[in-house]
Amino acid sequence: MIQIGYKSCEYDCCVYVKSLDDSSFIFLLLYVDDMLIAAKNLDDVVGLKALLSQEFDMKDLGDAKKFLGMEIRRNRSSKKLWLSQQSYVEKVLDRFGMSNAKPVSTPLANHFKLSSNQCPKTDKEVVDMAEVPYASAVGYLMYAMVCTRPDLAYAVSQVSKYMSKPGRQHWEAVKWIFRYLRGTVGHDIVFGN
Amino acid sequence: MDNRRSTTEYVFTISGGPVCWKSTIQSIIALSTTEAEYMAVVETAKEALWLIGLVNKLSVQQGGVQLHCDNQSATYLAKNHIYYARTKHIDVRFHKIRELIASGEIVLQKIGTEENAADMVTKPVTTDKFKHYLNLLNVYSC
Repeated sequence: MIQIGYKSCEYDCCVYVKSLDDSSFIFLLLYVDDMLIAAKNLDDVVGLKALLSQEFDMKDLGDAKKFLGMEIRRNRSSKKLWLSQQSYVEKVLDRFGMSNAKPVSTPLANHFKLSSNQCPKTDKEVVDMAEVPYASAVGYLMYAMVCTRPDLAYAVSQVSKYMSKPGRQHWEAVKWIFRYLRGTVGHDIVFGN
Repeated sequence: MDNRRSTTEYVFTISGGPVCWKSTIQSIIALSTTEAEYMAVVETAKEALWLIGLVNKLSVQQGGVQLHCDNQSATYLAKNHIYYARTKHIDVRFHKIRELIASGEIVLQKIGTEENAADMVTKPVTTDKFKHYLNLLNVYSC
């Protein structure tokens, strides 16, 4: 990339930028094996794609529809862009058997008074909780939160405090978040006026 | 509740949609609400600095970042360089925000709690409020 005049952005090393003759820019976003190319002019994008496919074996998926599990939809006439993770959330709910759970309207309800006092104390409780996939559930939630769900931020920060010693109450809270997700699978972030 | 620490949280939006958000327990214990809010403002300003750099690199032109805070005394503290008995203990590094405001990179404004979408990420809120905040952030099903 450097050889053909691109510069790695110092603020985010996954972004490569090159300024073009007409004072616009072409951007290349790279994340492991996913790539996004953006430019004002379609010809520039096509040119870069051709150049890259000479060097690497790659697949052109056309218009960006999915990136790192995030679905991208756009409407050019109304200048809007939607970001969502519907299929990811569906997959996670399915994995934890929550696909048919009853939806709730908030990510964390007031009756959950989570504290470290609820961590398992007796051996029986510890054995009981050992079967619960707490860490992986929180991990899945965290990915959704980081990508497209700012509404989960508080709930996820609360449940992830007890990652090392989760208790029954904490697991109930995680299940509550799944139920919230059940009701809001279709939520997207909307950019544009 | 376990250790008496407050929660910092912020949401940045570009053209209506949220692009960057965080909710985290503060690393030190605040002695007053003002101090907790003040630390949150500074934490947010740090993230804003990075975002300003990134956005400029992507050649998007915009003026100073507007930072909204729902705490009156924290906004005054950031703008007014006065020492009061109750705030003199606040660590000097948190006063970085004053420099940023003076240079115009960040514009700090007080807004009402009901307009502060970041409120929903510090505590459990009621359903109606929660939906209102989500609308503010342009997060909804369509």
